[in-house]
Amino acid sequence: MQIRLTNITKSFGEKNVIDDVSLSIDSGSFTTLLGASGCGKTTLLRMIAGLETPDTGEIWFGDKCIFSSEKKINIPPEMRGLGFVFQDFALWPHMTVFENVAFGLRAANNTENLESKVMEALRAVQLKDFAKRYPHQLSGGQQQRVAFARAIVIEPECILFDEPLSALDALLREEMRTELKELMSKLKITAVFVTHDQTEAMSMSDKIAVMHAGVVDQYEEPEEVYAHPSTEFVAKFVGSSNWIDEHQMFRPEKASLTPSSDGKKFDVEVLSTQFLGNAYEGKMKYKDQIWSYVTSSKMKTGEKVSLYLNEKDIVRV
Amino acid sequence: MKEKTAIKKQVPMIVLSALLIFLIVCPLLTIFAKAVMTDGRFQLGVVWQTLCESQNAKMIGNSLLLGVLVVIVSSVIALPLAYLFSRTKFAKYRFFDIVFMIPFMTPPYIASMGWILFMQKNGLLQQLFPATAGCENYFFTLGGLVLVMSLHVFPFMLTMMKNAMLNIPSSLEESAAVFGAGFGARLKKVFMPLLTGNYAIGALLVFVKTIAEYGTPATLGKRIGFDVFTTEIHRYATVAPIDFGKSATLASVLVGICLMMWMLQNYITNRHTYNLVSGKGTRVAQTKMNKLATVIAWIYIAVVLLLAIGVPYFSVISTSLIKLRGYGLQAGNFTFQHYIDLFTANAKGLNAMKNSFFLAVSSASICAVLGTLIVIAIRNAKSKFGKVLEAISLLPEMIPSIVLIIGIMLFWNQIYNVLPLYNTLGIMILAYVVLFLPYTIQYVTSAFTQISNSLVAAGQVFGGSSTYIFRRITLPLIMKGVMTGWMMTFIIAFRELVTASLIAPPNTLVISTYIVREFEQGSVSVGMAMAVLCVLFTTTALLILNRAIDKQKG
Repeated sequence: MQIRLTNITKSFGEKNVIDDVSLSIDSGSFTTLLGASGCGKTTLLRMIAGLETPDTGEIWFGDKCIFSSEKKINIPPEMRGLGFVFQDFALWPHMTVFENVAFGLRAANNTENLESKVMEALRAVQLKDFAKRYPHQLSGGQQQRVAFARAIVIEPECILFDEPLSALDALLREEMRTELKELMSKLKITAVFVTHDQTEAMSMSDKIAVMHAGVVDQYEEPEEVYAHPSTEFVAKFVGSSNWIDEHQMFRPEKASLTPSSDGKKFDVEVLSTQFLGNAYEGKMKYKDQIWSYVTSSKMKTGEKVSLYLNEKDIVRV
Repeated sequence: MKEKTAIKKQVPMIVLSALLIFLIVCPLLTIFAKAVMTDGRFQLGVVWQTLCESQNAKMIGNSLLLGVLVVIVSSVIALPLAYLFSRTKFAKYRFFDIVFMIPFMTPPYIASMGWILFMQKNGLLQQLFPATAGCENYFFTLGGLVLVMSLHVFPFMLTMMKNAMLNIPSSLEESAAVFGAGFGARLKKVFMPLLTGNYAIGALLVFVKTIAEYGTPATLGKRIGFDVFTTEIHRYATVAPIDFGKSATLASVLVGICLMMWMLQNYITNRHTYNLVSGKGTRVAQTKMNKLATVIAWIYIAVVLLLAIGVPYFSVISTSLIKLRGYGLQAGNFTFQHYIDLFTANAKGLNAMKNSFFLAVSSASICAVLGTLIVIAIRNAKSKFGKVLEAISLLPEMIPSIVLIIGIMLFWNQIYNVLPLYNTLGIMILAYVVLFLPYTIQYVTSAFTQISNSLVAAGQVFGGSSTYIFRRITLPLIMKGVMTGWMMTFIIAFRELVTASLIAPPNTLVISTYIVREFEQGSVSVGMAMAVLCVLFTTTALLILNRAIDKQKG
């Protein structure tokens, strides 16, 4: 199902949270809304779900308009037929795992083969033996899986994810990342995923919408976003960047210590080095900018070195 | 169309507000009106006259003095215990939490009857230790009254201060130690300043509770001729020559004092308490105690428990079992006859139980439904209207119950021609509902705050209509709060004294008035048998409630 947002705005009091956003999410794709906290990414997601109402604009699911401020259309969340995975999981503590998953089917009076559908969903997330447990009897990762199962059991055309991995510890987060991505591509469901973690965004997404101050700065494939950031914010927020002047930057790994024929030469002074385990990261001073550069050998503080860079690796924003 | 639905949404809100204004605000306004109006004319002079009558001026002085003394004595009892149970190894004995709630949960009139039976001339103490003859001269004084009231109210202070002390992270004390402060300096510079706000609030609440208390002054205070607000308001309203004007005047003054204290309390909470609870969880290190300190601590705990629980319960239970009180505590002078008499001698005892049970069940049920509706309305209201509704619904907790009851008497007398509820059991149910509504409001509100918004949002996204969400998600999640509110209301209504003694219809006794009547002019032993049954029954109910809540937690 394709999701189209056109000219969406929303303000809370004086503050513009969403400032004229238009976005088209491809059917079956995994799309991430990436940005720092307060950029409006969660608000946008909740608007798609119907949990927030935009001030202006339209939202379309395929060829069906589900919100339009002009035509006064606003389909309530319970009629939109979406799956949603909440940041805090939002499992109902008084219901068993089975009942949590069955909720959407029961609410829609879709009780035919209820038991087998629920168990199928639980099997998909490897929790079929936990149906009779209560949420508080599960670990964080298991709770997360119940939240997935609850979203997939209603066979929605799209599932919305609101920072679903942020409540997990680092190790589990990485594991769930892979698992989630595999599950989604297997089920061929459109996914809209909100996160502030750029690694998460880059590793999982088909397309990333980088948001900043209520506006979508860039909306492209992860590789494009990294290699050709369109704004200063995107350049700084995604990956690390070394700035030559106000408008030119390069990614640190593009530079080299060995001279090349068509390379530009930059003389820098080493300020400090840090051991990372597999390499050393040096902080260097170039004019009034601080650069970072990863090397295999340790550099002395105060040492003067030269970095070489191909013209094509310099990004202008 | 949008406006129409907006108005439609406001309907339950308006109906509930009107109901609360009728039930709570109207009676209160009637009191103020009665106080300043004489023979249909506005006369503030009469109010001043009443207050200047020497006995009333003395009574006001008495009340304030009593309040201050009870604050001091209950602090002396509670503060060392609070320290022991929060910052020493005694903190691990969690059962003390329950044990120390017993004095607070014991109806004050029953505890003070126990003390009277224990200390009076030829009472239980003098039967046990004849050498103590004459002790009654020391006990039946203001000092005795202060002691008994403090022993009732100190658990309140203890709980507050214990929690406040638990909330002070040890890191604050440890950092003071690292920067060179010794134990005394730490106590003075860190510990005490952080607690002043909490202590002030506790002290104010104890003060308000004391001057609003009726049970102990009505039993023990009466014996020593120590009149306070509550007893005088009661006297003007019940004993000839009845003077509702004076009763209302005193009630107004009492309300004034209480509201002032609440405002002061609010001010201190905002200005002088610190938010010490962080999301990281607080680690509390324990003060080491040597053997001597441990022994002293145990003795202290034992003495407090002996006085607060041992004496009243020993007296009440043994009196209920003594065959002939003239022979005192002697082998062969014990019997269960009084318990049998309670049910068989005449129908009064059984009727009183039936009445109390009926009143408690019906008022608790009405409170549960009404209170839940009010909380839902408050939470759905987006305007300031909700705040007003909440304030009105919590008003009965801030105002001494005797005042509210006088107001209900006056108001429902006035409208008797329209709604002839006065002098029926109905007015008692109504009064109980008004008095105890805040319990349900508070329990249900706190249950609501524990429901995270996303639980309801998840219900919406997964296709639940608003009624479906209410039935499947909201209601089950607040049910615990509703049940706790029901049980608390039931327990407190079951033993309520002041309401029953003021507005029970003629010849209708409930358990509390039955006990008081038997104690004063019937068989003391039968009265105490009733007291034992009453406490046993309500305590069992409370334990069942606790068990049920623990079970739900899983």
